[in-house]
Amino acid sequence: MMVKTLKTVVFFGAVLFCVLVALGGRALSEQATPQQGSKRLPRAYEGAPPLIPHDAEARKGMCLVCHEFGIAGAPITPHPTRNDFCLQCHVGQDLSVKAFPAVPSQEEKRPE
Amino acid sequence: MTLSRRELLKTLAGASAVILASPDALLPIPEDLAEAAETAEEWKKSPCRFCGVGCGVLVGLREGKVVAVKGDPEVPVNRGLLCIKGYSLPKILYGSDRYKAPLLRQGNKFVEISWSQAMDVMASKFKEAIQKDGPESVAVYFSGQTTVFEGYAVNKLMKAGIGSNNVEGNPRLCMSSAVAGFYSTFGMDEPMGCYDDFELTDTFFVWGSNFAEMHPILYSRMVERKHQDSNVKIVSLQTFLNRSSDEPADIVAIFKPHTDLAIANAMAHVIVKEGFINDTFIQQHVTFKKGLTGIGYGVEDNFEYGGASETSWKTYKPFVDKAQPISFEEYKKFLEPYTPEYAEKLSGVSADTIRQIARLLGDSRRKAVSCWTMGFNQHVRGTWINNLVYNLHLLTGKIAEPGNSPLSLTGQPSACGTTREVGVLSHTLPGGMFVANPEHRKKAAHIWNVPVEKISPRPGYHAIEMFRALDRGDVKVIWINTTNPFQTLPHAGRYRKGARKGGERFIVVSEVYPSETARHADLILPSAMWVEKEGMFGNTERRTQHWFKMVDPPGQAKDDLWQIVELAKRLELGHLFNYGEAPLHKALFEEYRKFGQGSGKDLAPYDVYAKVRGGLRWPVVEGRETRWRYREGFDPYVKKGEGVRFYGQPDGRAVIWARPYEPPAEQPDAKYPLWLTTGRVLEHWHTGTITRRVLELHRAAPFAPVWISAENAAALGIKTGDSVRVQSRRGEIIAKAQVNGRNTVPKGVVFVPFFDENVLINLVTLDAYDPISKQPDFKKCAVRIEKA
Repeated sequence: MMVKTLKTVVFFGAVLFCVLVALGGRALSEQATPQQGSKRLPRAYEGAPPLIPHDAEARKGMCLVCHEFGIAGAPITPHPTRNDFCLQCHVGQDLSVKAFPAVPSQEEKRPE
Repeated sequence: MTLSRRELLKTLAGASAVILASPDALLPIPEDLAEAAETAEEWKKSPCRFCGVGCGVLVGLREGKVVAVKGDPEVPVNRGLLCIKGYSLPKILYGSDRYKAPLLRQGNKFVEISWSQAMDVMASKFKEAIQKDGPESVAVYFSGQTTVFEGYAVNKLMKAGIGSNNVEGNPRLCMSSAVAGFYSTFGMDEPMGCYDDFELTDTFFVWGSNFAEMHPILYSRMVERKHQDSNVKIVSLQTFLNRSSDEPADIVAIFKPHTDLAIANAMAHVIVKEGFINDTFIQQHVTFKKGLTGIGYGVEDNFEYGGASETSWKTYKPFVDKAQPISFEEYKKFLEPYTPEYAEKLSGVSADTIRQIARLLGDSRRKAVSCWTMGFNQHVRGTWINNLVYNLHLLTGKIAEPGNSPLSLTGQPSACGTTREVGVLSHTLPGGMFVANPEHRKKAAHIWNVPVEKISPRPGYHAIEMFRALDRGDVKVIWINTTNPFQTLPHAGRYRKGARKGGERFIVVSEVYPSETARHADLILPSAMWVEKEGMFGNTERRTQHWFKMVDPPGQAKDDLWQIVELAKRLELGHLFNYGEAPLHKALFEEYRKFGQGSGKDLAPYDVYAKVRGGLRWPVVEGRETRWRYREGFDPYVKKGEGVRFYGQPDGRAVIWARPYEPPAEQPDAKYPLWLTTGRVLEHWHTGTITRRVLELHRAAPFAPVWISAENAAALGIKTGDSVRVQSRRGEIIAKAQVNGRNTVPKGVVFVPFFDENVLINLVTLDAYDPISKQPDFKKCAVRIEKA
């Protein structure tokens, strides 16, 4: 009984957390800062791991809070036991970054 | 091996719970991208071309292109899983600026030339230099990503053909301390254990390695083990907080850079003092030794010993350690001063924590796996710290058996398979042999069918000295292949300038994309990469894996083996690679295999590797691979009744080394008050030459920031995103500051990844090295920071 209550509290706490994060929308990470609430991103090819369309670093360790049951429309993970290393396959995306190299060039000059 | 789609699906269905293509119903695939994997016409096996973990992949092919990859569920390394770099493999081949034709420098420009012109120019430069200044004026600098075939061929060309031992590779920058550690302790290179230990142990010790990012699949095996069994403990010793010290590590100890020497000795102190030693094991299988001390840091050209150096390379004698036997009692006396309290003073890790960690390792009811990578190896006392962690396993007898293993992780996919095993270094020969040993030269000359006098007994330049020699003008012609030294060498400013001094210098670079090194080249050769050629790699756990060529390289690009053989032909050395009608790759491998046969490094025949998914772990004797070396019942080289035998050493005993704490080459001071440490990130491979061309990876980590502590940042008025200048006695860079995020550095430390060619952090680093292994220390130098 206690456990169940505790689970409910944790669950709703988690939902609240998600909502706050989603509303707060402040990108905390240095690199991956796509617009919050952006659409799901295309995969590199079918079978490639889905990319993360939101800030990942600030929510490190919290992935399952939303992705275990699909809270707030989050995709449900098909492999919930892998919850300590989500970020080794799923990475965030800074959509403002253009392809590298910015100008396709066979650099000729020696530096300096 | 080719699998049809139906066979693949069957394989996948039969595999464990590893789901590859996530059946993620909520995630619609955009139409233009949806078809790729579904319509791959066939699937072929290959190892991943990135890190030393050596995951197996299935490569999806369609109309001559790589369109998808899946983790190979049949390969025990990764059992179907890959990391994001691995999943990005299809795209590394198709960047917009692949080199497609040979390019010759004319002034400040490159002009396209034909292959025959390119090879003629290259050969004439080699000939000129050899005739004028001898074979020691030419050099090759290859890579831990070089295949076994390529490494073997270039080694043979140089050592048996040209007669120069100036054959080096970038593994000198990444694992030569591990090698020197293995040789000094066990008399033979490479780990005794294997990845199976991850499922069989219950205690992990991770030393100065962020392998959650750098060896992700192996890290995930550790974490899964922890999930299975709540008794499993993970100890993470790091110089800053990172993903490898996150959950689920049980004990996290953040130590001051370089003080791992003191911590390891203090752990040995506790193990001896509190009676955790395994007396029987020590009596039967261990000897004690001490070596030279005050050995210096190699910052001088032609460095010899301490601070001494010689003005001429021709007369200098490279540093060699001198071993002296000591007794167990003397070793105990040596440990006396290394109390946990003394180690606390140096390291900042509390004496209690050090005791707790030592007791976990000592506890006879527990097993122990230790892992480390560049934190130990890129260390001016790298050989010593490798020795010291072996000491802990030897004192407790927790070694060379299931679940008990010190496991030196390797950074590159074939640093083991090619550079170490084929001996593509300036002092080594294939099969764990050395140029300085007359018996070894004799054996090599016999297999190579050349007069023994052809092989020079004198080791060539090691990597740092090779580029110093290029700067001085002692090396005239250098061929750089599959690596980017003008971004990765420490104190790179000196070597970049040296490379541009002109005169008789001629720099050939084999590359796939423009890089900092290609920009320094006189001649650029466009190479084939990964499955555009046939190859073989050897991973951390002695596992040799083979793949066939699957697609054509773009334009006129050619594989590196072809380039080696074409150079040989033009130097009148084509006979070295003339195997008649036999296919070249197979012939080379079968010849190479003779070096290891019967020496404990036995490899299976070529045809076996061509067939077996996931390859095999050597020694392979009578068709059976070896999981644990030196242990009866597992290793065919240990006879019945011997139990354990460290047969790399003449007396069959491993060595416990008394290695003291000595200070690093440079320490923070009033003028340069911060430690700089460098490294990698998950998303990028080394200098980013290939991974930055994959949009998903580039967008995940578009630039290299400077991680700085909140305290240091506040004192300097710096916020995340501010431009800051990082400056040392050697050079400076400007980059964006980053407080926290995936790493949290302690006060006094900054961390900068080296993948970004716009943030050339190696202009700042110091070219000090471990005198024993000649491996430079990228983890420690003194810098200051200011707002730019």
